[in-house]
Amino acid sequence: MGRTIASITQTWLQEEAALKRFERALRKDDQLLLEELLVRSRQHLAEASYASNLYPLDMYLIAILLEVYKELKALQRQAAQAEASTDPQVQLNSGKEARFLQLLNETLESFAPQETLELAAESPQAVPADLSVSVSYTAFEEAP
Amino acid sequence: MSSTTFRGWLLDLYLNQQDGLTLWFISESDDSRVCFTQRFPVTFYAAGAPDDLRRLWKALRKEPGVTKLARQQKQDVFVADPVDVLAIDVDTPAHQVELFHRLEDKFPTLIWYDADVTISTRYIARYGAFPLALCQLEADNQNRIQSLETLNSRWDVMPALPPLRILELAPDVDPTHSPAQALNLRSDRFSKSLPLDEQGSYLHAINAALVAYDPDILVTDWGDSWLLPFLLRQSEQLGIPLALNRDPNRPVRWQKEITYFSYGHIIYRPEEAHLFGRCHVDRKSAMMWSDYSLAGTLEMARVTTLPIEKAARVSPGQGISAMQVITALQKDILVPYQKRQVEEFKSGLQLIQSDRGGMIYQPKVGLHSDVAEVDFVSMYPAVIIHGNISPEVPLPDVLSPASEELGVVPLTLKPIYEKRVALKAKTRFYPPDHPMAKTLKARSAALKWLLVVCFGFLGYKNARYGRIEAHEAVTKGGREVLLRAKEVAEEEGFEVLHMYVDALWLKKKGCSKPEHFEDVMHKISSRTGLAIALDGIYRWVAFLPSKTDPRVPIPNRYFGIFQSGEIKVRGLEARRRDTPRWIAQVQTEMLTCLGQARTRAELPEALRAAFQVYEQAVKQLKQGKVPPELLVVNGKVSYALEAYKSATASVRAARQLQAAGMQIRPGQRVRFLFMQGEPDVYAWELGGQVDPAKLDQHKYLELLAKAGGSVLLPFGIDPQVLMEWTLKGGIQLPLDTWNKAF
Repeated sequence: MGRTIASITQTWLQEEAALKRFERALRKDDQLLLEELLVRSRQHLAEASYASNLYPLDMYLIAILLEVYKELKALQRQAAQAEASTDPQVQLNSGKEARFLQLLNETLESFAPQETLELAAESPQAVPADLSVSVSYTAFEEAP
Repeated sequence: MSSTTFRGWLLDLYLNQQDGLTLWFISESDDSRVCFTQRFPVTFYAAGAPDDLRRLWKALRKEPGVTKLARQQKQDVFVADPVDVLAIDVDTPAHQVELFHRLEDKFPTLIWYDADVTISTRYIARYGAFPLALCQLEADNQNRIQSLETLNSRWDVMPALPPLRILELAPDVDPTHSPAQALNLRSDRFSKSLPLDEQGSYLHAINAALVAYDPDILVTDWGDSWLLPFLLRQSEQLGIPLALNRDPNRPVRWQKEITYFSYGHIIYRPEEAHLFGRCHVDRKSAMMWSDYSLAGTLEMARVTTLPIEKAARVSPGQGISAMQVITALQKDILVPYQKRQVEEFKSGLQLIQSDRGGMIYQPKVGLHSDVAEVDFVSMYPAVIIHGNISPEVPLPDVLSPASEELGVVPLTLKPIYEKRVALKAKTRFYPPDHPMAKTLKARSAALKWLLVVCFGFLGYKNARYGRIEAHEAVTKGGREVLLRAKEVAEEEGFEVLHMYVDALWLKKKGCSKPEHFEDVMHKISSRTGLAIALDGIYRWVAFLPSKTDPRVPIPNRYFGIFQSGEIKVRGLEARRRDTPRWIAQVQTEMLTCLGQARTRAELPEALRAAFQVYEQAVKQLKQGKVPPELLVVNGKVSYALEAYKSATASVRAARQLQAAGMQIRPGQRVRFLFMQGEPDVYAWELGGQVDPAKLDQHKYLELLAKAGGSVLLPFGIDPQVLMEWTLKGGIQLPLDTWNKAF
């Protein structure tokens, strides 16, 4: 028993070897980045094997794109969370109910300094509907 | 001529020049061992051009031993229409073997069928009798069998087995390392130590045991490679006859040593000593002894019909091959002598798409809790049976069979698969440490190996019933099944942490009990048509990255603990054959400590305990308290020693043995120790005392750090830091970092 076609890992090594001249010509800091990019494609070897594409490099590039996009999305989420701690509107959209309620309390306090309201995270319905706040409760219900 | 009726279990069967066959039975009524003979004419076939067949007919007309020649039409599974053949009836199997080899040279253009079928295979095809089958026979007063009927089936889940007499004979030490001083002789009735004195009194003692106990199976250690050759040599030199065989007219039969290539490995099999009338099983050269012991070996012999001695030594592939031949003979299909099918033409793209193995994903590296491992029950055999994949029938459209009548391969596999399922079901009735549970597990393991190799044999170029397209159809089916399972799991909200050919690791918040996974498994089963089982739920499982690049996940490197407390380890040093025993023990002990953690809260304590084990091991090694025999590395040479340009440690050790006059064959295991200075290795087989102070402590510390690092890595301990700590000491290890890893 033996395979005629190289395994997906062997193919990956061949593709990596094919980039060696390109890599050599790169500046040192670019070389390091390229190496990091290539490693990302190894996360999807099984999928590349299943695809059985005539040009495996296409699959590796898509695998790299996918991983980079995944990291981009993760960074976007982190950035959004970081921003949310300073921007009340973003915080409303962040989907964190507890933070949202904390923010709501703060907002209510600022609009009604005489009556301080403490809202429990479990009972958002406790918010009085007639309070004159800039954002109505029904709108908050839509918050993710 | 008067005839008697006899009932008993078939123990041994072999060719006999005069009568055809010699058969040994264990009597059901009085525990005696009885020898019979039987006439056994055999038939083989030739096909080819009409002129060639006529020349053959003319040549055979007056051939002694040929009893009949007839023109017939028979079915060759690889040919659509029946084939015209010349059927050649020969009086004895021994004549047939000799005649066929002459004819093969004389008529090279003819195609031969049923020409090299072994005698045990022919016998079961005709009488249904297999090793340890209960038979009833009629014999004349000279013990010549007139008729025989088999009373049980090789597919019986709980068969009535004979009361086998087993005699164990082993040297007191590993004779490849140091000279044996005595032999240990053991049975269910006695246990003796026989000093190897100059007068050879041990030979008399062995003879006496063989006569008095009359064993059916002689179980030895190093029997093939050292013990039996030593005893026979001593017997000759001292003039003390040694009657190892039950058949007094036969000497021990020696089968030559061989080296062969199998599943990417070079395998060496030493010379084999075969007995007549009883069986010799050498535990050290038995193929799968560690997996399924004697119970599994006997199951393998019964199911495959290979003689017990052969079933113990050959790969399960030979067993499955024999079973396929039996299926063909029983269906009156011709058994080709040589395979004539070639691979079909494929375009480049078709080749790229079809020449693929199973799906092996990259796991999500790290520590995960409450993970279920589910796997398909014997996935490839199930795909073969479900899709009716056989070389002679149209191949399925992914998983839907293209024809209803089962081909030779699924027909052979189906009863093995069903018997294994039945054995596994029976095992559940017994506690895990019950002797019956162990026996059932060993038998089930033997069947598992048959099922495993059957798929490989479909793609083996020399397999009679092999065809690469059928092999590819199986892997294609397997990939489809796994992807369907993934789709179902994700639809049901599970996270698929890992997939490996036939197994999936699933996780979902709130799912930690078997019943939480029943629904998804049921849905997977109905979408794929294959049975899926819950292997277990891990309290936690760690998927490890590559040792060389921590960013790269490795599919088969993980460990975890099931809720039952059972630890599962794959790809770690403890599982490798070349890892020194002591290092494997330390790693296993560390894993056992971690396994004590039943909850996440208990993990820090367990981690501390595991580290203490490691720390203690480092101390022991540095103080030279580890016995050298536990530090032996079990290496291997894959090629002839002259072929190596740069010598690995195994090769350097092998060259020491060669210089000492020993023969080293490719595939042979070579055990050695790492030593300080030059030479840096010491071949264990050279014998003698090894001074522990001269061992290469640094090298062993490195090996230990690697093994410890694999276990501690998922808990946030950098293997490099551990290595430095081990070699130099004094670095503070961040034992609290595990928390970040979860």
